Amino acid sequence: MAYSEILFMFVAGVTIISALGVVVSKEIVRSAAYLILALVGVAAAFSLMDSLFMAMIQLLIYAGAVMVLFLFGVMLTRKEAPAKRRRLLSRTNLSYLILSVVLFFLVARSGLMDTSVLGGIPGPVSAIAPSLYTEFKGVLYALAGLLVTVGLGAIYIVKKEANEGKNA
Amino acid sequence: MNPYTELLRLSPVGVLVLAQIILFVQDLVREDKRLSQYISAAALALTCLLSVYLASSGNTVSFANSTFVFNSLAYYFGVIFSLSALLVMLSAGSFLGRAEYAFEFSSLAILGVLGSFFVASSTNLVALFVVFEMATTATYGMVAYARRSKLSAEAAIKYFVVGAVSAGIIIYGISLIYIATGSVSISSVFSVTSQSSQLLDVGVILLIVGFGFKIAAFPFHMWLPDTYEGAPYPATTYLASVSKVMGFAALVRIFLVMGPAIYALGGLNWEVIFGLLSILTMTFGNLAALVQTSMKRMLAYSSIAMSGYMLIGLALGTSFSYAVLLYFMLTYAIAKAGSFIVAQFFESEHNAKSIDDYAWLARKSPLSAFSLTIMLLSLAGIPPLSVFVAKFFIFYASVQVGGYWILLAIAGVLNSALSLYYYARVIKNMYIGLAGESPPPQGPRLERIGYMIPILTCLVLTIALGLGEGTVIAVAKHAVTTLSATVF
Repeated sequence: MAYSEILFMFVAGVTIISALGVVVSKEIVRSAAYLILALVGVAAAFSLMDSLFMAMIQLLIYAGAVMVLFLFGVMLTRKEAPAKRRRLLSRTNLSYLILSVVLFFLVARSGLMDTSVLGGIPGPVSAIAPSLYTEFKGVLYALAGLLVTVGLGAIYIVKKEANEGKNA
Repeated sequence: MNPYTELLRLSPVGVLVLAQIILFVQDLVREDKRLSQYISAAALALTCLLSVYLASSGNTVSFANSTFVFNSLAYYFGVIFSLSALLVMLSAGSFLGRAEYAFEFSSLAILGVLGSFFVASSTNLVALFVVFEMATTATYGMVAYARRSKLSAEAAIKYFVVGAVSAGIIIYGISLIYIATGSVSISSVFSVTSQSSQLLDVGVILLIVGFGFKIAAFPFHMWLPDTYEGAPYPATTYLASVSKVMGFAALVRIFLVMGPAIYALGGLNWEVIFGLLSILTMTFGNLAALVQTSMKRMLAYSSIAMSGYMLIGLALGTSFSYAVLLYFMLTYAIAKAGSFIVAQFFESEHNAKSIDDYAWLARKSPLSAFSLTIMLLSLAGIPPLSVFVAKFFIFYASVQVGGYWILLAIAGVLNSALSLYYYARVIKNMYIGLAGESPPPQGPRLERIGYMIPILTCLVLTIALGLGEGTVIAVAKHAVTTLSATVF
């Protein structure tokens, strides 16, 4: 068995175990932490399959942006006060440090590495931008329309009623 | 191409975009409920007229690197979308008058039509998915519009969860097709490697399942009755007309162009899948509609059954059957929107919710009761009304193909006979009341003009389209042949 296969098994195992952890763990913050681990595992699997671009998207958008949103939501809806300030050299901060170092190296390497672009032929990551903004610009326009619609609907649903402010 | 010609050919969507901007500005400076309703109705009417003109004169224009190509087929669907949304906006007056905010509903209706228009014109699966989601998201907001009503919230949640799942299935199908063919464009020519032909098949099946949720084909229909019943009436009308036709538009767009190649390369007999779905859907919809007591729910189940008849057009896969399917969708959207609008009127005017509440309504509101009668008879398939003509031609198309496909026609005829029972019950209640109940003393009341405009429009169109079917089917045939002949 090649070492990359063993690595993949390991990554897949970690991903599955942390996905189970998301469902099993009772505390919501712990679930969120497991979810981050699962998403990072998926990113690692992508990068093992030579799809570096997908790995970065996975890290930046899911493990990054979406999880921050989740944690914000958890923080805002929880009643108890936030935990006391941690020491600088805590385990959490250490994991943040490791994650950001991994991310930094991925970003730094991305210009050099080949990745699979639309069309199935592996090529440099930089080839994605022109294809996104020229060949698929119609999709980009459509996304703008989608965002307007989503924004409008979501704002309407959470909008305060006109006379609600007076009573409150 | 002359820039003015290009502008003219993009004008149906241009009008909608412009109307959207005007709506935003109007809400910012004046916040006038009536005005936003009028603006959107005027824009939809203009779009409808422009689309009728462009569809009948066979124009084509491409937009954004040919990601969207507006041809006769897209304009034809545009007519259905804008006309049904216009009917919704015309009938939404009293609902929006009572609602806290009116601007968002008009806006979402416009955005939904805009998204649907682009669905009918996209030449790329990813673009199709994005605009499909745009139109679907607009309907989520509309279903949840009555924010104080628990039913509306429940309907919206059910619809949203099913919609999200089906979106996931569609995007999964698209990615499998991409892996198999190396392309996301909807084109009649593509190639697969021998190992990945099964991937193509699985991807296509996932697409059928995903869009099956939208058109509420039999095993994927569970969300529809609850959502239609819980949503406010204008949203229900919109779902039954614009949203359902959009699901068919996506399927027609994909299978009309890619269908033959899918069969040749993947070996997947998708026509048989559509045939089975069709028989199951119409039979289930009609059987379930038989036992309903609530009018709105009965109409919801009957709209499932109508999906079944329309699926015959996809199952046969001939250019004639596609043309008849296009005609069917137009007649269905008008008759269905009309019946929901009359039901809305009766609920607000006479508080009539169940079918028993419809007793003697013909004495109180004769004109709308007559319109409902005509539209229900049309849906049941009574000549010479428009849905009858559509059903007749679609059964004729299946007999023409021959072989086992005749079974579709037989199932359709039997189901039409079955459906007459529950439609006739409503008509009987309206005209001769319930057994052992005497007619009410009061005479007819003046019917509200705000409802009568859309109701009479539907009535006139239901009769006129049945008599003048030749012109519409000729346009539809032209739209289908130009699309299948062109390679994008």
